[in-house]
Amino acid sequence: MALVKFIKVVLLILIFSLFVSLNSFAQEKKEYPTVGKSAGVWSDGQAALWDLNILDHYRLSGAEERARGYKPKQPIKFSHVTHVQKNEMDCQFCHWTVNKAAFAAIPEVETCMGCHKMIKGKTEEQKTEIAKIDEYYSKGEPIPWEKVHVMPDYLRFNHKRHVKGGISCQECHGQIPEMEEVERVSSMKMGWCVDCHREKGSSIDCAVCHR
Amino acid sequence: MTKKEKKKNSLAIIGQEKSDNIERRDFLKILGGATAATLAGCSDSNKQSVLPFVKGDKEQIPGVAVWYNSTCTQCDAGCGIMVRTREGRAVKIEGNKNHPINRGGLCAIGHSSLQDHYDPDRIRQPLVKETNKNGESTFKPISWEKAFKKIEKGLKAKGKKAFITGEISGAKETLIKQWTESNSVDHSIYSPLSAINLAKASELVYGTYGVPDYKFDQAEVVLNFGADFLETWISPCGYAKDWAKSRKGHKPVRVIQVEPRLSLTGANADTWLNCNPGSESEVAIAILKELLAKGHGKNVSTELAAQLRDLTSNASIEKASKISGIKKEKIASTVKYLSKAKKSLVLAGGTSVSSEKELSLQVLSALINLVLGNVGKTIDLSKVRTPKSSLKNTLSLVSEMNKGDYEVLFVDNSNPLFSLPSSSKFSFAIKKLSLLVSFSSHLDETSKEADLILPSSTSLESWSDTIPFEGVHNLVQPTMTPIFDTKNIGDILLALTKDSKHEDFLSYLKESWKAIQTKVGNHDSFEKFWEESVERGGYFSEKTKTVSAKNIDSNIFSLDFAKTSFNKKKLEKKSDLVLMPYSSVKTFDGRAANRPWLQEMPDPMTQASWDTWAEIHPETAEKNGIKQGDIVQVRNYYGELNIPAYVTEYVNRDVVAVPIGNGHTEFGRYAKSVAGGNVYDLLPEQDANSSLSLLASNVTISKGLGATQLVNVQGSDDQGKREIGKTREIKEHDDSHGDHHGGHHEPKQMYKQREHPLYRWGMAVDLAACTGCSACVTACYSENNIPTVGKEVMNQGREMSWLRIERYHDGSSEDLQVSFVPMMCQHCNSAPCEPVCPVYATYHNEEGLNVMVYNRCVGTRYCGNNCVYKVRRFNWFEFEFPEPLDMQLNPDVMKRTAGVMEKCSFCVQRIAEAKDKAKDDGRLVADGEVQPACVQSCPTEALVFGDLNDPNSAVSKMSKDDRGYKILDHHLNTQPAVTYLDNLKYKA
Repeated sequence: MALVKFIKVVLLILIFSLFVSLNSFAQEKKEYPTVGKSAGVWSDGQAALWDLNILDHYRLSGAEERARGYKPKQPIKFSHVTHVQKNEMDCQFCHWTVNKAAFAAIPEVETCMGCHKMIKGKTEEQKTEIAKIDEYYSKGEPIPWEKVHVMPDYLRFNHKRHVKGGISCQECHGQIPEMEEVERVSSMKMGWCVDCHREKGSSIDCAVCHR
Repeated sequence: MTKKEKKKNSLAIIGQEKSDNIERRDFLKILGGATAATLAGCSDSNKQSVLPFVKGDKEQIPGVAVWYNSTCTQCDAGCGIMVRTREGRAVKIEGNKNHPINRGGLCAIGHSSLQDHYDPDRIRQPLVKETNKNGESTFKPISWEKAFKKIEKGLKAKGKKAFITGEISGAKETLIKQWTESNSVDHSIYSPLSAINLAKASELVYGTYGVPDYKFDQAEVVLNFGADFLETWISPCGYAKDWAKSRKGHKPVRVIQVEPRLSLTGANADTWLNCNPGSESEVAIAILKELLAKGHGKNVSTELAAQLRDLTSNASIEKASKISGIKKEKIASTVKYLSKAKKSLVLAGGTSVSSEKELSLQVLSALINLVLGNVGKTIDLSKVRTPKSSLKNTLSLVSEMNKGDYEVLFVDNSNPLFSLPSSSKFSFAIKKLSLLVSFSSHLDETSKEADLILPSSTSLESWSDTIPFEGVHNLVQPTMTPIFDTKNIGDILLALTKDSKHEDFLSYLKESWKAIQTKVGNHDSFEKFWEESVERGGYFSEKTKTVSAKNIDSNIFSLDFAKTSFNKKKLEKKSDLVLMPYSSVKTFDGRAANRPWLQEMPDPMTQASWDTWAEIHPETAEKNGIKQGDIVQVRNYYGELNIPAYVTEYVNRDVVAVPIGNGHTEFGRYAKSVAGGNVYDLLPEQDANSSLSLLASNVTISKGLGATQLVNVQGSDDQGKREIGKTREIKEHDDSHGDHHGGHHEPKQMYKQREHPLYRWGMAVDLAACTGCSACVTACYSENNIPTVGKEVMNQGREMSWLRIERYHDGSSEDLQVSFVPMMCQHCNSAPCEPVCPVYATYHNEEGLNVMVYNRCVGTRYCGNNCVYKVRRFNWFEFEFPEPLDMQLNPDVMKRTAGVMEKCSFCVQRIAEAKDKAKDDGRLVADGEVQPACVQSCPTEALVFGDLNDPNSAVSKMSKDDRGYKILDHHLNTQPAVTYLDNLKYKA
């Protein structure tokens, strides 16, 4: 019986050390602005280990588009790396409604065309992708972008309030400038929201988000 | 079996022979697995596309509402509206508070015009009727060009051509005139509920044709013969505003209502004098005589005074009392009040007096006004409305059509097949035409018979203007692109005229506004004038000239002032029962019948919904063997109705009152669902010289076949001792309102009370100003995406309305007291619903709101069971919004799914919006900044919302009013956030 007990203890220690190493691995990748570390949230905005929200970190069941890691294929291979990192464009140049409205709207096709009338790309790939914008614009059709952050409709999220409150885009959306294809890096589940709200002393009244 | 084997088999166990071996733990495991599988099944793909605009418009920010000022075109009142649009679609209509007519409020019909716009049964493209070999005709789509060609061909026809429209004004009127004249088309205007007789009487007595502007706020006493000015008559929103201003003031206006059926206005009046149908003239002439005898009339010429004395020589109170059935003392006291008042007003109109002899009554009431010197004081002749509807023209047109003189008929904004009595033989007349063209946007009775339908856009999609009276120039601007392939009627006519000067109706409209600019003496550049007018919703000039009464037309003395007689043609048995069709806010003249909000909204007086009914006095009902809810057959020579009986003491014994507007055979799914017959069809042959006489025929009633359930949402008319709607008497010669009871005192509480650190939202309802018009009910449906449930579900008591108007009758029919109590969630401080929720889905927040979290609700319905106000609604089903009605849904409010409880939220989305705005500016929410939909909609400002923590806010002040009380609070200590203020009435 003692052997079984011993094995159990060893297993527990093993599991614990695995978690700690995982945690420190995440801490090392400290490129993102920190959010609520003291409240036990992972530095990339993920849930704490000792919190049940750890489950949110991995998709166990349910739709993939409701979990982190969701990376839909977009109709045009738009690269934030090229636009934001290399050409140093501000987020709000395209997502201009983010400090004006609840929605951080996807830019109008016209906005894309503003630059891409002149910039037609260097490589073959760039040329074909930019030609697609032209096609949509001349047809007068919107580009059917796939939504990366699909939220349930009982949720009211206001971008304006968060941006004006000094929360940077990266805190929730991750290092978009480094993404060739945009991916959901945060679980964006209620516990994740509430943790930050608690941390910042913001309201945690249900009616703030659910109405 | 070993444990391992067991595990192996555990998933295969379900439904197999080894079930007896399952251990409890294994069973739970299986159950767990099964749940996970079901959950995975639930999570259908939520993948969504996010579509950007193609071209940017700095005005359109996704998620931010854009408001457009425009004008309501539902009736001829001409109220200003503000249309809220989101992402390019209209989602809400509200009254424009800067508009001179309605000044903020909007009636239920105006609110529901959104459903007219998003009607799922609207005509979606031009249609042409094609008849196949079997003689069956169907509508087929046709292109605009081909449709225009067909019309051009029709215009070249040899026979005569005619155009029937509803009331028109402004640029559309000039364009139609131009078009009809150039194509030699006879133009006829027909509107069934028209105030032509009132306008004529005004011309005969005051020398000015038209409906004068009434100043209810200036009068001390109003004697009203039937005019339902708080519900549908002429301009109810504007009148209600003035009426309420006076009722809330120091010297409230006393309203004495004389009518055979208690209308909404009668219910809000201080005295209801129940007169026999058609006998109003007798009462009026007796009152005129008594007033002359009391020495009034010194302001008129001696010659006229003598003529009046001569006219009234045969009249007496005794005679009037005998004929009308009103007690002598009541008539005498009416004379006394009128005589004592410094300023008074005598009105006549509405459906209850619209008989062949309406003109006599109108002349008499105008004469009383003249004798009392009201012209210039409470009657403003400088702003007259001039109704243009002409029954005479229309009837002669129909009779000529029957002779076969006409070949082509155009119809716009009118449904004559429904609203002309069948005795006019319009249905035969259209059979003789070779081409019937309809410009209607709905497939109503007339369009269904049309050969060609060119659907016109609704007023939310098109440019136009209206001029209700001088000084008010309303603009109608498009708030969204047309949903379907429809065109503005102006554009259709311009395309038909091939007018090269104007590319579209907008340029035509602009040109006519250049003339308006010169007329009103505005010296800005036209562009500035136009842009400012569009932004404002029109141009309103303050300057008015004073118009005084001119000489009387002596023809009035030859009018017949005796009691109206009724058509008795071929009645089955002797009957003195008079059919009284009346217009209600639910269906108006029939045009509002296909709107589910209005069909579901309980009628303010009967509290019935999704139906039409016959109001019968209990004695009459007993005599004919009819009980409440029986199907009653109302019959005369011209037709019959088979509708449920609503037995009520509040109609005259000789009256069968039936609301106008239901019984459509076409028009749409909602209108057709209310069957029973069209009351217009029971009207006898009309006297062409007046407007449509509604009170014209005797009928017989008998118990009909079959049974139905008249859905009535009011459980009990009697409020017992519950003190829900309280009324107190206004004492005369008293500046204050009745006795003081020292205001509402918060009772001492044993337990620690909730704290509301920043805001505490609350509401106050002034019952003295609430008319029960139900505008708030419709506004609430519109704002909060409340589904309509239909008759069957309604009958099970499962309506979804968050706000209802409770109606109680107190006192006897002699000394009647009607109370209207708007009932919404009371946001109790000590709410009975909160502690019973097992999942914390409803709770009290720091701002005093009783919050409902839909996604948390599991649907136990404990809260609904425990709510003492019955304001919680449970979604038994997932209700449908048939396309394109779903385009109306407010994106700020979620659409609830089946199995979820819902209720009034004090429009929490509007509170959030206001707080968001205030936070941007770095301040607190100001008083009056948050207006829930009901508060905004109220034409009388009876509802006030605000922060109770702010002692200077309007709602705080009202909550501390002497008249304030909280419903059921003294029984149950629920501590509601809604304070009601006693209703105020004079002793009848």
